[in-house]
Amino acid sequence: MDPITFSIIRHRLYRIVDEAVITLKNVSGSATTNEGHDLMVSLYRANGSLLMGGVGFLHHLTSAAEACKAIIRRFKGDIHEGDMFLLNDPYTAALHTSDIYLISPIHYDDQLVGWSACFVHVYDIGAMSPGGFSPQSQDIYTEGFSSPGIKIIDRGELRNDVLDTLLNMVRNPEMVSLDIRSLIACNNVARDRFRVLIRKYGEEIVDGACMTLIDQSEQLLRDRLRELPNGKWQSRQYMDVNAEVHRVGLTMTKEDDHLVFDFSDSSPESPYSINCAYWASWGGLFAPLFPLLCYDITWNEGVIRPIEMIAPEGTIVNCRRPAPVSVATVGAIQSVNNAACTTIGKMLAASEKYKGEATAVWHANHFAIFLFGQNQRGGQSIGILTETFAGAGGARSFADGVDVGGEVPNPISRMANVESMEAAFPLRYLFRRRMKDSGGAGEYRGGVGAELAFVPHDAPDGGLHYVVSGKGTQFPMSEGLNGGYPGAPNSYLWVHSNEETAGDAPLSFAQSLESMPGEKESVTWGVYPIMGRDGLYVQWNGGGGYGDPLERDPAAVVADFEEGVVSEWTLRNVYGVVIDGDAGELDGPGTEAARKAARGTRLQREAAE
Amino acid sequence: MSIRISATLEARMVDGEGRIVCVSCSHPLGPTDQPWKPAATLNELPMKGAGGEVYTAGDDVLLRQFNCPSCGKVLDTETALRGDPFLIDEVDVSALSDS
Repeated sequence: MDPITFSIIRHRLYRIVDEAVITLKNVSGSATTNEGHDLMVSLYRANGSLLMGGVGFLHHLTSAAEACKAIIRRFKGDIHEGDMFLLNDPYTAALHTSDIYLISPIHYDDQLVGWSACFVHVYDIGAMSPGGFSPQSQDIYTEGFSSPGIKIIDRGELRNDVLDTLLNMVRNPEMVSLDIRSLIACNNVARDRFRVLIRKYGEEIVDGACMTLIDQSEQLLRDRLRELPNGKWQSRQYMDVNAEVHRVGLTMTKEDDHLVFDFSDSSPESPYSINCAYWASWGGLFAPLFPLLCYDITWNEGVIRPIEMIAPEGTIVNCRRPAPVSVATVGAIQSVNNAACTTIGKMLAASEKYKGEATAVWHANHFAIFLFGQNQRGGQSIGILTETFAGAGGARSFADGVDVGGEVPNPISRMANVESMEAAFPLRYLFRRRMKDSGGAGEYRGGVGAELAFVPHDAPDGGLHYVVSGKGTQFPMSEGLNGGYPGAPNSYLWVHSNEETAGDAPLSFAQSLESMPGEKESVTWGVYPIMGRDGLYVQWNGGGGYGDPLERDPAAVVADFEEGVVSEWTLRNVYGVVIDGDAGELDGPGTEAARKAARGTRLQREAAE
Repeated sequence: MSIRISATLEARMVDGEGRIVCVSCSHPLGPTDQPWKPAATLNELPMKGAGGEVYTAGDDVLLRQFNCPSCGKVLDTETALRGDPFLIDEVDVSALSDS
C-alpha cells in the first residue's frame, strides 16, 4: 500500500472517532458526559480487537474490546447489519454497572468488517445509591441492572421491550433514555463514517491499512521498550475504607521488548465495592501506559501484544462474583493505574533518552461524590460533582505539575462551571479554588488540587443528599518521583452549622473552611444529608512532586508563596527557604544556610537497614 | 562508564567493582547486585503534617525519605504504613561489567 493512502486512512480513522465523540456529547443531556467527559468511543476490528483507541477514559479501551469479543461469542450467528448490543456486566468486561457499553457491528456488503463501541456513565443504573456508586452494597446484586450482553437494536429497530425493561429499573428514566440514545447516535455516526471509508477505498485496502496500523504500533512499542533499561520496579497503593486498609502492590518487570505487570502483592478482595474484576485491572494498567509510553503511537491491539498482567483471582484487583465493584473506577482500577504510573515513571527516569517523559503520579486519590434529590424546578436531579475529574498534574523532570490539570487516564477530563452545578442542583457554592500546599513538594512541585464548599439553596426539600465513596483521606496516593513528596490526600467535611453549634453566625457567605461556623465531621463512605444550614467542604489531592524539595529554585518557592499555593510553614520547613519577615522577599544567604542545616540534619539519621 | 538507575543514582565501576553511587557526590551505596536503600540514611516522617496542615493522614502512615549519607540529598521517597517493607527497584547493569 502506498504510504499516502495508508496515512489518509489512518487519519480518517482518528476523525471518525472524533466525530463520534462530538455526537455523543451533543445528544447527551448529562453534565457527567458533556462537561466532565466521562465517556469513551473506539473502533474495533471484526474479531473485537482494538483498532483505534479514542479519547475519554482510557481504561475502557481494552475492556470494550473484551466486550466486543463477549458479544461475538454470545451472539454467534445472530449478528446482523443494524444491530446494537448493550453490555455492562463487570464480570464479563465492563468496569462497573453504571458504565454502559453500547456495541455496534459494522457491516459492508453483508460482511462484518468491524465494531464501534462507546460508553457513558449513565444517569442512574438502579443501584442502592442513586448515580451508580453504591458504597453500601455488599454484592453485585445490589449494584443495579447488569447485563452480560443483550441486543437493544435488532436490524435497525430499537427493541423497546429491552429499553423499557432497563428504564423500568432506574431512577430518572428519561435521562437514562437520553444517555442510551446518545450512545446509539454515536455508534450510528461511527458506523456510517467507517462504511463511507470502505466505499471510497475498498474493503481490502482499508483492512490492509488497519492490519498495518496494528503491526506498526506493535513494532514501535517493542522498539521503544528495547531502548528502555531492563529491570524491575515496585510501587504500592493504599486505600482506606471505614478504617480498613487495602493494598495494591505491583512489581513491573521489563525484559527486552516485553513488560509484565504483577499484582500478586495485593490485598484479598474487599467487602467494600472498591474491588475490580480482571478486565478492569487490565484496562487500568493501560490507562497510563497509552499516554506515557505510546504518546506518539496509535493506541490499538499492537500496543497490547507486548504486555502481560498477573492478577491472582480473589484479590482486590481480580475479585470473584458476587463481590461488589461499583466504586471500582475510583477504587482498585484507579490504584492499578496509579501503581502502573509510578513504575512506568521510574523506568522512564532510568533512561537517558526518555527521562524527560517521566512523571510523578496525577490525581491518584480520585474521589466521587454523587448528589441527588429534588431540584429547584420540582424535578429530581442526580449527578456527580464533576470536580472529581479536575485532578492535579504530577511533576515532571523538567517542570511543575499542572495545577488542577486533569488526570492521566482521561486526556480530555474537565470539570463543569460552578454555574452549571448550581443550575442542576439547589445549591450555592461558597468558594472553589486551588488548595494551598496540596501539590507534592519537590525540585519540581506537583500541581495543586483544589477545595470547594457549598450549601443548600432554594431547595424544595430543604436540601439534598449525597453519596460519598471517599477513600483517600488517610493516605496520599499521588506518589512523588525521585525524592518528591506525594500530593496531599483528600478531605470531606460535613459542616453542621445549626444554631446549637454555630449560634447566629452565618454560613451563607463564608469564604474559607476556617470561617465556616459549626461542628465539622469527617465523612468518607456512605450516604449523607446536606440540609438546612449544613455545608459540605471537599478538599482534593495534589499531584506528586519530583526531586528533592531543597533543590527547588528558591525564587519559584517564593512565587508559589505569593500566589497562595504554598504556605509560609511549607516554604520554611519543607523547602528550606527564608524570606524577609517584613518585605516577604527572598533571603538568599539565609536560605543557603537553612538548606545546609537541613541537609546536615538528614546526615544525622540512622542508616535505613 | 556509568549506567543511569534513576535521576539520583547511577551504577559505576569503583575499584574494579560495580557500585551504586549518588549522582550528586559519587558516594557509594553498595554493590550493584544488592538493594541500595539499606545503605542510605532513613528519615521516616509522620505523613500527617509532612507537607503542611493539608496532609491529614493516619497516625501509622509514614513518608520515607532515603537520603545520601554523604551529601544529604534525597535519593527516593515512598509512602508506607509503619512496618511495611521498602520498595525495591532493580535496573539491569550487566553492561557495566561487560565493559
